[in-house]
Amino acid sequence: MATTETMDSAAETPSASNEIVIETRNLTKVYRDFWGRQKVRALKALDLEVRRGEIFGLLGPNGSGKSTTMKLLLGLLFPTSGQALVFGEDPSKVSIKERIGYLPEESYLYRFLSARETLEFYGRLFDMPASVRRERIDKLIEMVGLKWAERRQLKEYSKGMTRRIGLAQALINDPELIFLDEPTTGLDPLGIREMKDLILRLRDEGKTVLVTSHQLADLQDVADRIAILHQGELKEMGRVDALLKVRDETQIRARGLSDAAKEEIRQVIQRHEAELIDIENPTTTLEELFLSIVRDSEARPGRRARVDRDDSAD
Amino acid sequence: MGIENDIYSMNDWLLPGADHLGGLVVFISAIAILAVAGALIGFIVSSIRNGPFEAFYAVGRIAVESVPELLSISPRRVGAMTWLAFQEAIRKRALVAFALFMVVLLFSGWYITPNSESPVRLYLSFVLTFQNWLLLLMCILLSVFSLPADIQNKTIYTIYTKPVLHWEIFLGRLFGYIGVGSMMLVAMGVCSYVFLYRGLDHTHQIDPQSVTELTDTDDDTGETKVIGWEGETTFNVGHSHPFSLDADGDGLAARERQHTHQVTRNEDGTFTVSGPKEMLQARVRHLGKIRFLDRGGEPTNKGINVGNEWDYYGHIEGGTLSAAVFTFDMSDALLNEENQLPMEFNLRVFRTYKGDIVSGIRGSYYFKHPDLDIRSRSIPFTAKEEAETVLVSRSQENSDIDPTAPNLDLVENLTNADGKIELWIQCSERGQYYGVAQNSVFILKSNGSFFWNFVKCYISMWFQVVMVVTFGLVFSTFLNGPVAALASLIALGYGFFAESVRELANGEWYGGGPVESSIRLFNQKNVMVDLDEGVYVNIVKFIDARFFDGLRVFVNMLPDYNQLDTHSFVVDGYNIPGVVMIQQLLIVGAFFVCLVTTGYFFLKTREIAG
Repeated sequence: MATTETMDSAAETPSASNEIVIETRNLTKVYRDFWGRQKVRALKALDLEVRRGEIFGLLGPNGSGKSTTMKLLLGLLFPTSGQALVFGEDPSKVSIKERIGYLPEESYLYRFLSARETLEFYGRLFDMPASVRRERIDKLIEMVGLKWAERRQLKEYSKGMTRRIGLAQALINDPELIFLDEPTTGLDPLGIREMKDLILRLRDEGKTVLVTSHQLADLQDVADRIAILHQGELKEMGRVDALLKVRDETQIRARGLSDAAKEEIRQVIQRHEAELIDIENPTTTLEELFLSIVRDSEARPGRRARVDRDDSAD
Repeated sequence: MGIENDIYSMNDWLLPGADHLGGLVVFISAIAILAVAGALIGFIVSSIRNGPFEAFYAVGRIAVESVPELLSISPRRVGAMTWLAFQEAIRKRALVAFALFMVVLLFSGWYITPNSESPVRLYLSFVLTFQNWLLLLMCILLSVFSLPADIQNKTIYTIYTKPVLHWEIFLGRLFGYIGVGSMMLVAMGVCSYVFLYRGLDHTHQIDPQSVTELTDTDDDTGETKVIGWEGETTFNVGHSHPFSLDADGDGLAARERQHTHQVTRNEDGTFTVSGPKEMLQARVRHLGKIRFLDRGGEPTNKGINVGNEWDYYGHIEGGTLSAAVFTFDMSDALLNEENQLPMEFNLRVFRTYKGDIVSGIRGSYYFKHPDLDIRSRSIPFTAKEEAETVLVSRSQENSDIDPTAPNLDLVENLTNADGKIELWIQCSERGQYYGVAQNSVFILKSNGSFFWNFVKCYISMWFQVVMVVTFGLVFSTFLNGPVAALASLIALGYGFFAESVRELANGEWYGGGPVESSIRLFNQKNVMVDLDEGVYVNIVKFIDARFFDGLRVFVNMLPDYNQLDTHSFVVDGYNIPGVVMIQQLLIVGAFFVCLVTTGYFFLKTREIAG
């Protein structure tokens, strides 16, 4: 495995500030059965910080604890020990929920409502004037491209359409912090691209986004920082570009080489006067990194992942 | 006579009395027990999971948070949640129950006809009972499955992640389902009213040839003049009415099948018969307080018990000094235009020998001044186990031979300074008994509006809807759908047997509690035989007494739906007293407060994604 680099600093994330929006301290969750006996330790002493304005990705295989983390941060679960803070407060506080938006993993929406009724209902749960609410509903329906089907009940919607209206309900209150649980699930390639663009646009608007995904490429494209969880433990965390950088290899990208030059490129690329576009450390894919961490974690459970990297180098 | 619930004044009902705690004390006790039990259970469960220190903090935090949360309930968010619940119920075909009601109503005309002996009773019983059960069943199904389904489908995640309080989630759903139930109740009520009027409406014809003209000859002039007409209507819907008209050609037909008709003779010699009259009634009762005298004429707590079936009635023995004494508030306003006191007697009869079944059991009644030893002469009557209206003259013969006062005025002479008058009833036939209760004898005050009585009955049904929905929703906050449905059905079913359970809790059943009963069963001792003396008997009785204490708490925690059932008033043609409605409102209000609080804490402490 090539060496990768971790750089756990948000300072270099373009639009991120130092204000901590999400913080977990030693956050642990144990699921118990009816009799109080321990069933699963879903999350083990997670320490995490998400800063305002960044896109933070939570990555992990099924059962790794990323959904549990999100539910703890949303107040849907109570921590067994440790603390989860959103905007510096307990996430079960109602005042916090005025400022967040949540797109669940599946589209957990009322299928007997139409798209407009859905947004009308969720909008009424927020303290906003009716005129603003209607304006936002129109805008969001337009944004997710469901104007043509806004009067149809959601039970008649395809999965992709339901995801879109789910996203609209998450944004109904123009939230500062958005939780996206597997946002690209059920979307076609065009929809996935639009979703990624939207996430980036939200970041550009100064919003903080916490996103989980099985689609590794999705996170690679949009996340500023990621945390990789496996079996309830944090295995890796840092900036995506730093994590994926392979430091002991050199990648040369060239254009306009003749066939002859290609033959000799390994020894004398400069001597052939080709246009040198870039020489840098090549990056692996997030998929490779992820699989490597999972393999390492399974080989040495309970320990932070050891990938061949040089933390000091930057 | 179907009404067997005593009606208490607000003071007697609300405040502690000699034989009962009173509604206020029960309510305060229930709140206290709920609070202590909730805190204790919460602490124990939390202690097991997180240790006692964390548990104490958690319980305290939840209790402290509940008050500011209660004060910050937003009508807008509750409205949104209500709208959602309403939409859900409607779009998930809750109105099927109404459709079912309509289908049954349409076809019921095939089987229910006005030909029966008591058509009003038949129609009203059918309409009110059927729709009440249908509606309550629908309300249970509506309220118990929604919240568990929301949790199972995880749709509640999108609610919980919005700024919605637990109070608002609970109240929103509650109001939504009560709204659906109310809407259906109103629709069913309107249909029932139309069904009732159309079903019972009929008329008769009169053949002028069959009518006898009544004449009178003046002895002095020899002139003959018509003083009226007599005859009988045609036989329609299973009955006919004899009638007699006055000289003007007007009169009421004889009362048959719970109604009469206005009959008018037209100028051309034909007769017009109106639609049914006095059919749907709401007679306003003026009830008194009852006390009993035993066979020696001594006061006793209750009449003789002749068996569980007639437990509601106290019996007085015939041919002895035993008497039932009613004390009424008396005033001129209770007398009719003819200076008569209209009264109704509904005495039960218990026979120790058959006697003459047709002629009934003879007895007598008289009026007595509550403080002085003056009373009217006894008036004989015969009890036939059916309602009998008696018009008592204002002026009654004095029982004492007093030339200065041969007659006694009910108001002036027999009513005391507090406005009370006593009515004494005795049974004359030795070996026979009268069954008497508070509802057995009363003064008929006036005739109220049947329509408003019908509306009041539906308000009582609405109270039941509120109770059933609230119970169902509370159960659904911690149980899954089918189990919550079962629990709601048991609560509903229990409500209709609550009186028996209350008697058991008060130790009114023979044979002791569960331990004593088991011993009796094991030793084959019947319930009337005392257990042997000994320490173990004391222990057994102590354990049973604690069981009864617990049962008394339980009895007051679940509703007695009989207290919310007023359809027997409407069926029997009696006005539902306002005090009954107010008491029902307070009962439902008290349960509502307790249940909503309970539901809130269940939701608040529930890990929704767990």
